[in-house]
Amino acid sequence: MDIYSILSHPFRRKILLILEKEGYIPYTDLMERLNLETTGQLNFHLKKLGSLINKDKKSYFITEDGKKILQILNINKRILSGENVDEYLGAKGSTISRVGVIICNCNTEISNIINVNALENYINKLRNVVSVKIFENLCQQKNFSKITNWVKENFINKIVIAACSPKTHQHLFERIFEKVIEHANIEIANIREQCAWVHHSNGREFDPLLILEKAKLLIEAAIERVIMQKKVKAKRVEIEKSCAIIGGGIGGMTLALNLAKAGIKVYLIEKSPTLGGKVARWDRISNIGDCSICFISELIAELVNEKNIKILTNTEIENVSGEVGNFTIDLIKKPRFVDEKKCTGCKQCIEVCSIEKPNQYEFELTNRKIIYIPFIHSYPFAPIIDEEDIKNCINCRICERACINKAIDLDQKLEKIRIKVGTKVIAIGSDLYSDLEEYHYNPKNDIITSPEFERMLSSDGFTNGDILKISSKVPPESVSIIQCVGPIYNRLEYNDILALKYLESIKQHIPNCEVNVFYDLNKLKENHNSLSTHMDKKFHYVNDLKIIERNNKNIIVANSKEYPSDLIVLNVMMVPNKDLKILRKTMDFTLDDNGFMSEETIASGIYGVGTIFGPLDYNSTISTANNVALKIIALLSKDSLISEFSGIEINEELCGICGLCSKSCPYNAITIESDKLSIDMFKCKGCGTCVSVCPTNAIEMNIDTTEKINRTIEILSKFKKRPKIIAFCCRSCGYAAADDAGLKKISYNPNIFIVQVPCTGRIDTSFIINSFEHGFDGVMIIGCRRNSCRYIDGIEKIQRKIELLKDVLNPKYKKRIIIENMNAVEGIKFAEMVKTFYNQLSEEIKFEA
Amino acid sequence: MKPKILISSLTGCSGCISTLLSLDIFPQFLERTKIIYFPFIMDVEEIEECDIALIEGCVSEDSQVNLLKKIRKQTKKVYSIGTCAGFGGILSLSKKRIAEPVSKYIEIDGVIPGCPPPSKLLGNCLIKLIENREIDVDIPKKNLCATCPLRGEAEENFQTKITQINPNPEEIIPVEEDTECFLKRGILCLGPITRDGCEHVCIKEGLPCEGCMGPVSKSFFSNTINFISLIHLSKKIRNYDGIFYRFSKPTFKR
Repeated sequence: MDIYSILSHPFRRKILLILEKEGYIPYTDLMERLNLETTGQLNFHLKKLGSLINKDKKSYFITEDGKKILQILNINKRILSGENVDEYLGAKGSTISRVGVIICNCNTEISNIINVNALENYINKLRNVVSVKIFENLCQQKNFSKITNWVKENFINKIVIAACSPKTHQHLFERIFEKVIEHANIEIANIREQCAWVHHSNGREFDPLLILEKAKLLIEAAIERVIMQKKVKAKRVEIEKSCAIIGGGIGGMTLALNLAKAGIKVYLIEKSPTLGGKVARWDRISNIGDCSICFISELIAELVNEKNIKILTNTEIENVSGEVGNFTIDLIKKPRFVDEKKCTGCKQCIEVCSIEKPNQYEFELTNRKIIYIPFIHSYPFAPIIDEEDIKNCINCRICERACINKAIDLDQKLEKIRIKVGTKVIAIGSDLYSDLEEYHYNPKNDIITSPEFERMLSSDGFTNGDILKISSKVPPESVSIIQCVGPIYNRLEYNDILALKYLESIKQHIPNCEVNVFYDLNKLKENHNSLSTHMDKKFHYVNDLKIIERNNKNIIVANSKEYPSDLIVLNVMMVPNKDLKILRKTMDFTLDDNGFMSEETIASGIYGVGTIFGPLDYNSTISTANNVALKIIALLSKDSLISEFSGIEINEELCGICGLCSKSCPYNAITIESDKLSIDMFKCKGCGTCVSVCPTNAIEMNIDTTEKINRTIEILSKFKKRPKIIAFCCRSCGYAAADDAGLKKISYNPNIFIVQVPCTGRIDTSFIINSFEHGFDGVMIIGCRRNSCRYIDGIEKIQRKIELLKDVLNPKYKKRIIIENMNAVEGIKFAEMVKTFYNQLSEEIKFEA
Repeated sequence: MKPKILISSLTGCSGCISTLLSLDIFPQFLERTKIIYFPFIMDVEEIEECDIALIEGCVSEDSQVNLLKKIRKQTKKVYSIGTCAGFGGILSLSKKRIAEPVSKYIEIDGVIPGCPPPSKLLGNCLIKLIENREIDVDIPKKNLCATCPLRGEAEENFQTKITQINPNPEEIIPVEEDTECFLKRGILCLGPITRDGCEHVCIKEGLPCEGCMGPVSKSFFSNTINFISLIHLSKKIRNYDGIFYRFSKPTFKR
């Protein structure tokens, strides 16, 4: 009887609705609910309902079929009541799996070896399979609409493609079905590289039926897997084709220019009143010889002419919301008290101002007025009164009168700006180490830092470019440079470059000056190794370094030798910008152990440029900026972004917070915070190691679920011919090595089945035991090389598990688990290994019998 | 009508029965049920139809298998009490005798774990059974760490070097407020892979968990290996028999 005649009677619909509400209901209660006196009528209808209901221990309940029918009924009701239920009708949102299977002939490459028609017949009978289609060459199809129409006509919401390896065409296939099927619902059965191409040899053919059976099972397992795939949380984000760059230093500016030229709207946000960053105050850029302010001013001029760039100086970030592709950033533009547009830069206001304070742009070595221009060539070239200084202003308003253009506005208020951007870039640079007490830092006593020395060298600096003793304003006879002042982050080349630059500059200015450069080995202890590789003869590497003062003269005592120093330059190290920690809260990125921005972050729409990653010289900064520009252009060139998180999920109801997962995580992505596990989605790479060790199954992967892998093992174990071998291969190396064997067409026995796991660390001991229980004779585990594991140490983790397992297992099984490291091109080794293992197992099985 | 109860003992120490007899609700239990088969305290040979069967001890003889099958036939619901009946129990340590859980031979409706089951747990379960409610011990739960009294504030990583299976005798003292996690102290504790529900009887007395409540969700065997692979057991305590077979018998016994 068809569904419609079953449902035609209101009485039967009523029964279904009662059962839906109650779950289990005994016969007598049902009669009562329906207000029936006699059993006859009820019996009749119950019988008519057929497979929609069932009986268990005298209670009735709805079967799975019944539930589906009820869903339809409910939707009907809603349509009749005028509700828009399109989302329920779309095949994409349905919870019922309708699997479409595509078999690709691969231009007879596959069909020559596997009987495709027999395969089709078998698959057609499998559960949830709606339609099977054979293609001559799926990857060469010109008319994709034909394929997507097939999907739509059959209401297919999940697809299995039996073709070549996912390594070859997965992305192409995903693109074909992009509009109709989610990526997670596309499963590929690798019947070319791991079946058709490896099971035929020139002389000795394997039994074609066995190869067919293997292909059948591979596809069946893929179908089962795709049926089990739950909805992966995915979100479609319309991409805002703009970018916010925080920090207007050299990195930020170079990036802004690159992006603007590619047609991307750029907001260049700078906290200080001018662009230029630190480099603008330096003398010249090493290796290039160009003076940095000339270079920067040229760059700024180019920026200003670019229509796509909006420069926001004196601006800070208040709040960030949204996600990759569509961020909303709230900004606060602090008052400048001078209208940039009206100002001509005549500096009359500065002339007349009577209040002075130390100039922070000259490291407080000189004074400036409270209305000031940070430095020549600063942009925008308009005076400013810092917000903190306005309270020191005596409100004489003489500057107002001095300004011809009436640009001064002492009542200016802060301005709130909201921008929408697709990506954000952090380029705020780093700070300089400033805790210099142990070096007796005191500029007035001729012990200065490297940035101060840069200002001294710079022709617009406080000495107009002359190297002078600050105390007596005479040229020094000897200069000592102490390298690596501050914490050391292993990048010593940067210091070398600086020191060489200073050596050259001093020699130019004062040819007779004696210059000594010191490295204090005591401080470098931990980095001694990296140091020894690039020791430079020009420098002194000393074990013991002290600065003493004698007769008003500074003397450096190093290795008990005295070096009189008229001027001591402390080459200070770059330390993490103090703003990083504050920005981190609003900007969503992670810090590394040293407190710099972690490079792990790059990949999620939040990028970093320049020295926020640690000390970098000019060239490297420019090259990272260019690199990031490419990434941003690539990201913003799309119209929309579908974000899927293919990592892990935590079921808090099962989680006992034992911390095994956080222990096993190679990226420290899992932390315990206030009696709750939290996953750092930026750090999580989806290796699944945590899932394999979770004792309560509280952590599960979104795609490579335990359930799916166990079901795959179950299906593959249906293969009849012994010895049966199962191989767990990691996605990046093991699986690729197996593919490589296929690409090289090296033949091996069809008795081996390859199961892909994200990382060998994902392999739970229960997979191995499960395989043996299901009748597999051998288990192979193939992962990356030991020191090049894609997920740091997944291979070592599985190795430890196997060692323990072998200790406990029946000795018979000890030889039946093998673990091997391979890289992606070792197909020959893979095939050899399979053959040897196959022969070993066949011998053992013969012996057993 | 009072539910008819059958209580049967297989191979084991009868500790579970003793716990049952000493329950504070046992008199109430006797009042509200009709015990029809309980060889421990009464002489009945024949197994009659009954509502609830409670089975204690592991299966180690063929005759026991027959008995179990008979019980299953006559009973509406069968529950195994204690670790022996549930997972195989301490006899799994023996290399010769078989020690199989009841569930290997007959279908059971639930396991009340523990060696012996904690009296509160057992009492609650019995009351639920009498009242014809489902016992929920079988539903996968959190592990022992979830409610552990030794749980510190936001505990990060535990010690990875495990040098002892048991604490030194003089260190076995009831838990105080500042007692540290066993794993932090380098003592093997199977808490992370053991089901919650025992109220930490051993831990409160200063002994680490040995896993008598049975596995959390995956098999005990694979859980143990996954767990131990994360820590470094010192060579001298690599006595896997004690760790693996104390309370359950894995399928792949050596």
